[in-house]
Amino acid sequence: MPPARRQHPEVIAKRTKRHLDELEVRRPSASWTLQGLHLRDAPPSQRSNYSEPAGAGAGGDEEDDHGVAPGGRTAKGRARQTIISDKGKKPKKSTMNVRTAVLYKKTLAVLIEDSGIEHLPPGVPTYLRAVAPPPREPPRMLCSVCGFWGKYKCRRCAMPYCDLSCEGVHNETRCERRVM
Amino acid sequence: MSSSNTVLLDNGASTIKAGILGGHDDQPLIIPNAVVRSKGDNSTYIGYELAKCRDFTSLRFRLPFEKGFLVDWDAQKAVWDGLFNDVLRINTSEASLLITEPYFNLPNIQDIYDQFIFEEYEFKAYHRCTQIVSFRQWNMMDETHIINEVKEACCFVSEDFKRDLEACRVQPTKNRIAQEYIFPDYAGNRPGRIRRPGEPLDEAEQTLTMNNERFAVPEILFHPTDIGEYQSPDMPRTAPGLDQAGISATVAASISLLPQDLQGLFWANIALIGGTTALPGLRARLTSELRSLAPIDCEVAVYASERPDLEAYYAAAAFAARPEFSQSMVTREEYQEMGSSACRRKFRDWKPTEKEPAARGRETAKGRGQKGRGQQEDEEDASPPQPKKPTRGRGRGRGSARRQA
Repeated sequence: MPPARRQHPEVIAKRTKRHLDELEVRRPSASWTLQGLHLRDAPPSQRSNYSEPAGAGAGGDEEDDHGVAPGGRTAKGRARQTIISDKGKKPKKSTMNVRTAVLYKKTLAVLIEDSGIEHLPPGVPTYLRAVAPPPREPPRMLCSVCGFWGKYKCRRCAMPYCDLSCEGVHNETRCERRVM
Repeated sequence: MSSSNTVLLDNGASTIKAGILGGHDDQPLIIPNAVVRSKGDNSTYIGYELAKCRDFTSLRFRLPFEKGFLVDWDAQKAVWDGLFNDVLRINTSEASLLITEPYFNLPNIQDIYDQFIFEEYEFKAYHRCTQIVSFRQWNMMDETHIINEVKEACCFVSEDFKRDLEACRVQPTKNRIAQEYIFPDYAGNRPGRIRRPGEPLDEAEQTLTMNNERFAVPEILFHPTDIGEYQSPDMPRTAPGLDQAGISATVAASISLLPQDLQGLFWANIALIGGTTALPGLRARLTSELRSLAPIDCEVAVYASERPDLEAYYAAAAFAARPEFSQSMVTREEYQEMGSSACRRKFRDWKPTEKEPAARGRETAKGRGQKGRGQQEDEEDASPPQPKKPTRGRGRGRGSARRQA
């Protein structure tokens, strides 16, 4: 999470706009290659902050938001690298809506909250309400090591196991020693 | 508008089934809906490009869909760019589009669909809906005709979990379930395969023994409580999402929400769509469990098809071919004038919104009826399985890579 410095909303708004403008989600001219993604000789005004093939992959690897702040900015404050594909014909800048959607990725949990479906009147079925009923039977105990019936429980962490050899494996590698 | 192309897009979480109306109605193009990084090849493959991958070890998948909803638009745009420009080779600004969306799609996400389709790709018109599989198009096959490809699939659904689990304890030579899957050797160009009984192995070949995993993995469809943190009286369960009944009980619960006099009709017309339902044994298992849950005098029938992964696409093609289809579309001009509200009015949705009187009466008579749980019981909607086409049971984009052959 980014540090909780208080910043003037104006400053934040300006920076956000700059990031969106920097983000050249444009459709570049033809002549792409199949060898991954290459930057072509686009005029400076159209060039994006995309740097090299590894960058696209790195952008993908940061999906856990480790390297990217939720606001779509990296730790250094630069706009997050997006996947720029060479497909497309027209060198045209995308609309603000599209650029925003591409740059600011929201997780499903955030989207659900934003959608406001929780607050719809009770008669309306929603994603949150269309859930499977609770189970009719208690859970089956399966050995946490090999998957067979787990007749015995670890004394320390309550994970099931099926026999002595699996108990051994469990104690050596998996026991969490949470509960006595 | 009738003279221009209509693009059909069954935009799935695992694969996209795409085609042009009139060109691909029987055989859509299937591409992975993912951006994949291959450390082995040191390359990134976007969507269809995954077919070019040589080294399938240590692949990192970035999926536009999370839990069934489209959340990563950066990735989706990349996949769509490649799809429209290289695979379908169309100029989107001169085409119309029919695209599928998840059930209970969030309204804020729906707006983003509108934005991309009209503002980025500039389609002339489009219609967005959930999968509507027309019962009339349903290809009901007798079980003996169902093709059984056993190529690389190890997974199946057990009819009797207890019996099969115990069969797995038997020593490997007599164990009728265990299979050794030989890993592929990309350097030597040998694909992965199941080891035949008694087949000798090279030194370099590594295998994975699939024993109870073959059916324990699909088993979680029927027993979600099998996974998640172990629950003891002293410890609260830490994985609440899995405290649910399995698919059979869910089907039964869904049907029970319908008017009493219609329930029998639904019990007798359960259809399976979606690639997961192709797991071997799934249809039989589901039928047997449903039989014990349904009222005694109800007929229970579960229908399968040869290509459950393509049924939604076939339905989309049928829908788009109808003369009244164009009336259900929203044009770019309408969007520019009214924004997403034009779509909210014209597209069928789970949310009750004000509709124009003209739009309300018309509907492909697919019995969409009630939303919410009602959708599960829809004649055309699927409950799981069908033993037709064994898949790998993991449902990732690789299914489509195979399709490319």
